[in-house]
Amino acid sequence: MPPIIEIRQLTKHYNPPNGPLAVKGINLNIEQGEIFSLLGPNGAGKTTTISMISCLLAPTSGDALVADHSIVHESIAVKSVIGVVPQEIALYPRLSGRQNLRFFGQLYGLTGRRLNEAVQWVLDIIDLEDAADRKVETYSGGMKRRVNIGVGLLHKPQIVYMDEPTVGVDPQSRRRILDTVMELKKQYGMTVLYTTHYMEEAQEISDRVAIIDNGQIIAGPGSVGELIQVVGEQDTLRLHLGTPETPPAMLESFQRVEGVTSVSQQDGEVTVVARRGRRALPELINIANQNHVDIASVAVQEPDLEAVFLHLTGRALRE
Amino acid sequence: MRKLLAIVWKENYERFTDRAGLLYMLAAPLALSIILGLAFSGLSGNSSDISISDIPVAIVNLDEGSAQARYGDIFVQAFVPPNPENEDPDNTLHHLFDAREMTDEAEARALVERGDLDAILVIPPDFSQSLTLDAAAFAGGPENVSLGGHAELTAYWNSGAQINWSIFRDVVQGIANGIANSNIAINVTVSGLIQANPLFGLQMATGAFNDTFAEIAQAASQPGANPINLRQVNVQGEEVGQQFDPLQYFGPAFAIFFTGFTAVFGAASVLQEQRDWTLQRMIVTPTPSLIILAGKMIAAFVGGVLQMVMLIVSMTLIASLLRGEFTNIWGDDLLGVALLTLAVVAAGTGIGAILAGIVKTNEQANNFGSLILIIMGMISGTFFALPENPALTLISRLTFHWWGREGFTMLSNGHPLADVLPNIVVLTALGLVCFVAGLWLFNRRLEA
Repeated sequence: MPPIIEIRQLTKHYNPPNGPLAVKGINLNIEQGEIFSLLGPNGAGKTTTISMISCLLAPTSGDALVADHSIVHESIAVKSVIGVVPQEIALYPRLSGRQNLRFFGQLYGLTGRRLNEAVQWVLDIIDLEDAADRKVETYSGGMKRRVNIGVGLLHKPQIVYMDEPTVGVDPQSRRRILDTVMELKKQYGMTVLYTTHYMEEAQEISDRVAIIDNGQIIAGPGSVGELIQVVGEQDTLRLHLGTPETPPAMLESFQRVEGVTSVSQQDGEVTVVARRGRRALPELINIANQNHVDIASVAVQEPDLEAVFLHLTGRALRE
Repeated sequence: MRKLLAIVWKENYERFTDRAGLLYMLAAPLALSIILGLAFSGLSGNSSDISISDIPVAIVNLDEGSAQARYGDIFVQAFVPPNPENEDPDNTLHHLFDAREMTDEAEARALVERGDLDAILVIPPDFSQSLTLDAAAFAGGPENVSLGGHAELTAYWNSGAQINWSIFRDVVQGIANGIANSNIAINVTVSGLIQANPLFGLQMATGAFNDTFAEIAQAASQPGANPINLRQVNVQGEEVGQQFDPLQYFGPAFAIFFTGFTAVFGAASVLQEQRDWTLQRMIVTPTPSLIILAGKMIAAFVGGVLQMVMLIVSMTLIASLLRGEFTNIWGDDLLGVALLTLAVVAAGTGIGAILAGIVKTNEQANNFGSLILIIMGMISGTFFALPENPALTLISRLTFHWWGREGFTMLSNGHPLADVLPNIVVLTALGLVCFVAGLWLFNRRLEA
């Protein structure tokens, strides 16, 4: 079966020639029925990529086929098969949840009984029937997020793009959103393209992941296990320091410890990726003592996507 | 079509369920209209008579006269009643002005500065002399006869009394025109006589006819013989009243001004949607961008029309309440009023579309939009009657406010729809051109 999304040399250059090159000729294939995560830090090019394959932004060059329709030449056909959940709460606050759903449903061409059924179906999925007739401005952040997702599902699209849908929500709402995403695949066979900078989310829900940074795919696409193999048998050591100051000399000494492949620090936490990390730990603590830095706690993690990103870029995902 | 209607419905539902928006859109203009109506009713408690009378003015007549006439007296006779205790009730000018004759210009100007007088007219000492035939010229033969001299009048006015000043100015201008007309007529007659009989020129030069011409000139320039006519008569020949009716002028002017804000900001609200991402959310549905933007503009247009209709109705009610009887300040041609209303709102919406295409943020749209609308209001004479100035007259025609107000004033004065059609065509064309240009600009930016 051919991929449902084929991205070919997609490029976006804002205000050329001096503006930023946000996406640099990326290539991706996304298979039907999978949850595909595009993982990367803020400003990596995730939203620009989603905007282009949603036909919201015209690419500077390249193209993408979405369900066999070109985003450059067949935008209306592309828009008919996709549902888009933007990062922003793109709702009308003075309209109720139901009115918002009905309005956008009409823009998807739904009318009459089909519209009523679609709105009811979405309210069931997002579990908001009780509050459907209240104005959105009275909703909690989590409820708004759920309606925001619901709008993108109204026409039962083949493909759903979700651009960082859990930003700024409480853990309970976040859990509910992740469950909804997995249900869309399981119950309705939808393909989900999910962007996030939360490594744990991508690791939990994705069939495949690609890591994007500075407008380029730097790892993947592949399963989480395949990506982790990039860093090999390496552990991630998180050293929580007792002081906010991190002496540069100490970080340089960490780099010279046998087995250490990368070191980064943020907000009083130093992250060290090292082969056989447990063996390197005593020497790391010793260096910290020599630099008069207290270590409040130490956590040793098995390799994960964070380690992959750190390994490839030398930076933490949330830097 | 259903998508278009859905957008229009959503827009107006949001607008009319927003209390703050409604306050801004309806209550504020209504409150200002009531204040306007009360202001022009004189706050005297006599709410049944909206009229202007007894405007305090003075005529500083320094005219020393000529051998033939003393034209300055004509202004004095026109404005100042010969017997203030026993005023002629039929004399419109004496009813309209509370005028006095003065001889000290500095004192008169001081009274204007203090606000005791709204305006003064200063007639210079050589006023009559400047307009008198040059007797010496007649001796040279008919080809040298001058057809009239040049004289200058000066008026001072209190900037706080714009309307009273404009009335005074128009009356002075009318009398001056009358004097000039009669002067030219006499000169042409004399010229003709000299051409027919050169001996007549020699007799003129010696002053043989001075007394006769003085009588003719004086008689020709009397207010009774003057073409000035303050009567206001509609095209059906009906007398529509002697008073200047400020509500007929300022009612439509203010309605257009406020509706302009609704239409312009309604159209420019597309930028707010862009900021809130609801515009992008609409664009990622299978709905052409043109439908989305057209829906927004039509919604702004519908909102503007609703506001204009409500202001028309409410201002009619205010005028009726103030006069104690049903008073239609918009004229009887309902079709004309309806078409002109649609055209005015279309023009305002078009300007909003252009604004949305040019500026980048909603804040810029609010700032620039307010600035543009206030400037347009000022140069179109929304807040005060414009002084006579050819450049200003030309500039005022660049605003939709002027075309709208002028049209409503014509309808109010009984002009038929045909007379207002140019206004409707200009406004509609302005709206369409701006609308298309605005859509193009905005669409281009969206795709960038």
